Amino acid sequence: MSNSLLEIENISYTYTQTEWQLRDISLRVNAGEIMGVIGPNGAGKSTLLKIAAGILKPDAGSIMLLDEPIQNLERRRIARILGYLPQNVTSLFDYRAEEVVAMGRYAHARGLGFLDHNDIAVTKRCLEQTQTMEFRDRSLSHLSGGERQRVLLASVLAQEPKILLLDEPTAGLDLHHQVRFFELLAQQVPQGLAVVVVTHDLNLASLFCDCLVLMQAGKIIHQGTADQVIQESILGTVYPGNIYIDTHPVHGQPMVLPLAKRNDIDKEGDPA
Amino acid sequence: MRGLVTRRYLILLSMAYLLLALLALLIAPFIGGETVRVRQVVHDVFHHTWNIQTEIFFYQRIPRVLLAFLVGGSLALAGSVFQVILRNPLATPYTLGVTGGGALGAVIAILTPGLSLTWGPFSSVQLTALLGAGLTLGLIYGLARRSKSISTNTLLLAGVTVGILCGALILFVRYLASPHLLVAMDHWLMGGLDIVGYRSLAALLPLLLPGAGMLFMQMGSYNLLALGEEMALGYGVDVISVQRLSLIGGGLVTAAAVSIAGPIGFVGLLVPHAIRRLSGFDHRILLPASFLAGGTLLVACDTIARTLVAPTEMPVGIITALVGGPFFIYLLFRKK
Repeated sequence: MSNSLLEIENISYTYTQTEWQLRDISLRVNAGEIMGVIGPNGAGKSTLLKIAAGILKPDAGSIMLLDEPIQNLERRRIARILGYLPQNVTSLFDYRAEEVVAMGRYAHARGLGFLDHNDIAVTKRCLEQTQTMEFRDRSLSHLSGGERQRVLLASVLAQEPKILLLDEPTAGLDLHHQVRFFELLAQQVPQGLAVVVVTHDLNLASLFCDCLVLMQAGKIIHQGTADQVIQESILGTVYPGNIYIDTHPVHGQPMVLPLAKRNDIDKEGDPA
Repeated sequence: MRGLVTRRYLILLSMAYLLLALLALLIAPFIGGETVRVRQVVHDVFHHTWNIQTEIFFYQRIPRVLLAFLVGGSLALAGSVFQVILRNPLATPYTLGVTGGGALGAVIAILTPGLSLTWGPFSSVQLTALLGAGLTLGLIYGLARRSKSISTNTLLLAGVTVGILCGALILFVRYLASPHLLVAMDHWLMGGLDIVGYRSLAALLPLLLPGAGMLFMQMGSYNLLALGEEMALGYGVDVISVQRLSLIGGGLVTAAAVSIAGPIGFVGLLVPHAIRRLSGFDHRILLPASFLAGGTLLVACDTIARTLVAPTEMPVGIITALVGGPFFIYLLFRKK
């Protein structure tokens, strides 16, 4: 058995209606690391995540989940290995936070999905881990954006997966909640969990991800540590003319700052 | 913890709804235009005598009350499933046009009395209604079936369109029909449960049982599906298979109810919403509770329909719509 929990080899995928393509993607996800998938809108990050989660079937290539081809595994078995949190989860009904977290036990439960003592214990643990226990009885519509995302994370954690795939989990959250969310993820990793997170926040990716995958136009154009990927020569090709790279004064990680084409701000930042 | 849905909780809550249903089933056969006394029926049963009252009780009231219960239960059950499968709280068993197809089949059979297709316990009208409902469901499913997934939006639009098409064809058939046939058509289209004997029940069960079975088997997956198809897939739900079984199961149950009782409005729409308000959003409670409460409601409405203007009776569809319409408007405004 290899070290990789998830191995993606040479996959390609075409959306038939737009003919947009994901091409020759290869990726290895290892236990105990956070992988950040970054890149501009339309780069194929979410498509890659959906393929990795077995939700879209690639036209070519292979996906091995714990050394087994994903297409040979039934959905419940996949869900016990891999947790997937899509973008913009909208619920048709106003379930309570606790009910949503307990839904994560579906793949472990039998028949109609009634919970046993172990399932209830896991649900409780995930509520505690994500600090959502205090509003377990509140319904989804009565949660703030940050609370809601933490509840959804707790639900996916309740699957007790080995790999987490998260699609822009901090989109729309304020800075405090973004950092808290990533801190929560970082706390899960030492126990051997692997996390793949799609994000547009390059700075959070730099601070929290062990490895970054940079995508553009359906291809992976660079992979490596934050220091290796967040460089002007690499990121500059993807976000041309809009970025300035510096070092985090406290953590020492590379940081990306936006550059604005405005004549009324001079170099020192004083209004002209 | 306030509590998650456990098997014990489901059983306790279902018992409450079951109790209500049993109460309705016990009382309703004794109410109607003709007074039927409990003592008389019990006496006749034990003494093997056969009074006219007892005959009414066993050959009219009991089968009719049972039919109302099964039809009401079927419609509410199918409604609760279609609302989650189509991701639309306004979905009803009729949204997919199954009723339109059934009604078209029925009016064609009424228009051509010489056709007289009968098979087993099915009368000609029931059989053609069933055929129409089945064909519609097959057509919509075929239209909406895509290579990789079943599109709920396409299903909804296709269903509504087929319903409108069937409506136009029904108008055409009515245009061709003579006045006495028009009366029969109207009677059917208003929905009714006026049966005698157990033949209709025998026609209902072979479709209802497998259909309801398919739906109840999936009820552990519907909560997850309510969070969206992708989320459900992530949780481990075989979404395509759940959707397929739900469409077939819901279609069978609806077709069975419609072919025998005609289109009866609002039960399929209002009962699931009422249960959600009373017992929460968990489909493992919603489905059995909807079935039991839907049955109870239709038994009650049918009892009103039979007694309000006795010795004649009103089509039960009028009562359900009159009760259901205002209630639904109340729900809509309460939500705001």
